[in-house]
Amino acid sequence: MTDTLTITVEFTGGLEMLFDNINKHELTLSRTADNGNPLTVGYLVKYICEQLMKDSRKELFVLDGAVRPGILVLINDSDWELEGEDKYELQNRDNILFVSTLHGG
Amino acid sequence: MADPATADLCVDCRERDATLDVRNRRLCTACFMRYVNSKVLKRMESYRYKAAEGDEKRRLLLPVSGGVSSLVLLQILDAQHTRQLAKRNRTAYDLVVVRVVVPGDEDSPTLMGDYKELGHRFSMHSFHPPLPLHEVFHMDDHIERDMEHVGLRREPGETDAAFLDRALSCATSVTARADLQSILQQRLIVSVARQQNCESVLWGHSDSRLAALVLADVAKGRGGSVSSTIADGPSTHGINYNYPLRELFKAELQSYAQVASEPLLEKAAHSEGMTVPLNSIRHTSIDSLLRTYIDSQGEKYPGIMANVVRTASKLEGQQASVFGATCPVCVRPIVRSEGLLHPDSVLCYGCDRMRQDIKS
Amino acid sequence: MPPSICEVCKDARAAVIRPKNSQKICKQCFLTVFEREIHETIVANNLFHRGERVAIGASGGKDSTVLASVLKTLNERHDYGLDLVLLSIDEGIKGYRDDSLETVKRNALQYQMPLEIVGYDQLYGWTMDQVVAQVGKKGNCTYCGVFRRQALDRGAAKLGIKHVVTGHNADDVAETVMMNLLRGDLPRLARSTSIVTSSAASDIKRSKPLKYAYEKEIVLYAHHKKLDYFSTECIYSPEAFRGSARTLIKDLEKIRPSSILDIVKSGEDMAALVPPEVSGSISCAAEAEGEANGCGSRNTNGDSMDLMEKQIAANEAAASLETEIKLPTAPAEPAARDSAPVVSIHDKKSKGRRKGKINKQVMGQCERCGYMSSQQVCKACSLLEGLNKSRPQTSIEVGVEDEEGSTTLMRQIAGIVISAG
Repeated sequence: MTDTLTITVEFTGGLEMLFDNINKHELTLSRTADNGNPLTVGYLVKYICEQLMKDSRKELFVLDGAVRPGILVLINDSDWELEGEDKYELQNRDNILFVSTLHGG
Repeated sequence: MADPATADLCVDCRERDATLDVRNRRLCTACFMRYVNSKVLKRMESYRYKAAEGDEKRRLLLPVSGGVSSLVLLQILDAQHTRQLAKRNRTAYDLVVVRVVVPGDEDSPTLMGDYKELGHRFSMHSFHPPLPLHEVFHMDDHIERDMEHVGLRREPGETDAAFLDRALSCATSVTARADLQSILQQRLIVSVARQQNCESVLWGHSDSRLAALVLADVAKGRGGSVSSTIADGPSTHGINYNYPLRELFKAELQSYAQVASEPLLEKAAHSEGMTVPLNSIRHTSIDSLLRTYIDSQGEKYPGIMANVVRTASKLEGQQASVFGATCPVCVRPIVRSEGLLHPDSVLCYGCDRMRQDIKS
Repeated sequence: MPPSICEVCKDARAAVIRPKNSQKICKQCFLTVFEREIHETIVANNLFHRGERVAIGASGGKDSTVLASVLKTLNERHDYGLDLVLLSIDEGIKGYRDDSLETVKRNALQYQMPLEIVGYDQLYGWTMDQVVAQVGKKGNCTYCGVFRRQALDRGAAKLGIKHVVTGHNADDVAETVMMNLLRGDLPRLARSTSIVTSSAASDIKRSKPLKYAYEKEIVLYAHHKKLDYFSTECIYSPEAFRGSARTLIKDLEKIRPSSILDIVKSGEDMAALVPPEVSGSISCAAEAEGEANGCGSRNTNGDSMDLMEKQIAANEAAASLETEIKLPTAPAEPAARDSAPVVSIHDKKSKGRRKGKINKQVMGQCERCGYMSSQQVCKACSLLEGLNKSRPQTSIEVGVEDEEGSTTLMRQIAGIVISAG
């Protein structure tokens, strides 16, 4: 096992605007980045807020420490609720998708 | 100090200094108290003296919850009684006070003491001994049969208390549990009223509380029957429901409790004033989410929140063509409307929803 | 966490949790059941008849894209025999509509449907860019809303089409129910859950086949089917604010996912209970519904709740709010109103109703453009008059029609605001 993890993070439904309009991001994270704890989706969300988000309006993505109601999270195409939500431990080559449902159309 | 020329006088009496802001009007304490009292007593007009009373004096049940609102109601009606006795040496009706003890209240060490204190202070009225919620199985003749509709059945040898505990724990969501508990509470209070020969229940719900109830009911699929539950008058339980505080906001009742020179009220206002930390949203029930919503929005937009009750009241509660039977569990009318959402069931939509969250 | 198995086929791994009943279901079964439920909605409500030409209001957004895709699928699968057309409105907002129109054009190819684009400039002589240049960024959404509603109907009429379908979903309906309850708008509450809205005087009827579909499922359907859609914010819309009906709906959904449909059910029941003389004040179809395929705008003109609050205060102080030329109504009696702010269920006097702004509207025609309207001059023409005189309307009050514009946009209010910076 290498000491890093490579995952793909995607933003759609309008969320990409918070990230410089880039939909797909390849992230390489150090496995020990969270104090030696296995990296979870919860950690990823924090990381995204702190390191990835170009827009200062953090509250459009995260509210009170949790992903904002109205944003769906899919882990490898599957609802994160089926995978353990923010406690899911990231695996190499995982695909995490954040899609906003709050849009007209 | 303001100079006399710009003194902040009460807009009603124009004599005393105003100390309170009431719906954009500056009032002094005395006028404020009069305002609150008059709103309540207007709603009690149907319980005025009747010319020929007969021997049977009207009896009305007043459930208290330990909260400020119901205590304010008690204090105001007690004051009315005092005045009635002074003027005519009799009262128009008798009040019976009752306190239901729900699961969770066991943590309150002062409950019994407080209730006793209340009984001493307002000794003019009958105080029913505090009732644990499980008494509903004992006092309501039909409740056990009705509970079967949601899949709850007493096990052989199970005590009332154990049955209640188990029933509530079968609810898989906080909302369903709160819903079930509220239904049992209502049915218990109605049973007490019957047992005590009371013709009405006087609920201590403020306008804010009623608004939260309306929105919560809508959120739970019970919107169709909401107009009949908040109406003053005959309820589907076969007993009258009244909400004498319906025109007052929670904040106003809280202010009243603080200025009414009534130590018990002040005490209640003080303990309610302490903020309770909000649970994580997962552990909140719909009822408490909406109560918080009304409270916070009500500060900024009191007119909108007051509008909610007004609007819900305009929905006609009595249209026979629309209502079918009465739901056996919550005892509310079942609405027949078009739409795909509710195949025929003996339960109303809201109770059906609740049943889906109960795993027995 | 051990993988869950699909509760339906018991074979594949579950990928979706259905909000309406918490059912765990695999991707394929989800697509199937989603389509089947819309088919059931269509059949149970007799939405279409064979040979009918139907215009799909298409904005390029997720709702209308899914609507188009599903209708095409069902039309073929179940042989509805429908003639489907995509109808798109171009408000003339540079940079915004361009992209979504490109999406609609792609959709037209993807679904092999004819596409008709109707522009504000064709219909009104003003693009939204021009309107905003004229009136600034306050109140512009009202114009847009009024114009759009008519544009869809006019566009359909131009094509000889009598039936327009829009992508209103369950979340939209639930939010409208809550908004109308908060607003105290009984006539609208009576209509807000109707799956078909039309009026005797109007030729065009509108229906919402997605009425019972969760927004979450629409997004998931589009995702799993890899449908092409575009999401953005109208650049003229400012930030949203909290405490609105949309945020409330989302919070309720978080606590209990079935809430959205539960609210729709409550709405349907309450609609059945609106007293007939109140619900009878139905305005024409053009005024009846807010747009689902709106600009996705979060515009609140600052605070729509503030607006509502002031409105209610104004109501209680007497005087009507209408800015249009209206049929004469008896003036309200302030005294009567003040004395009984709460209408109890036993008190059905008209003073309570006054607040519902019931105008017994008679359907007629706008004397300017001939479009159907309950007023002598329809809303669009009055707005245009103002624009053309280089003078904005004195106060875009929230009158009967205006509220629709605001409803649409208030509908979109949520914590999430993503504006193009």
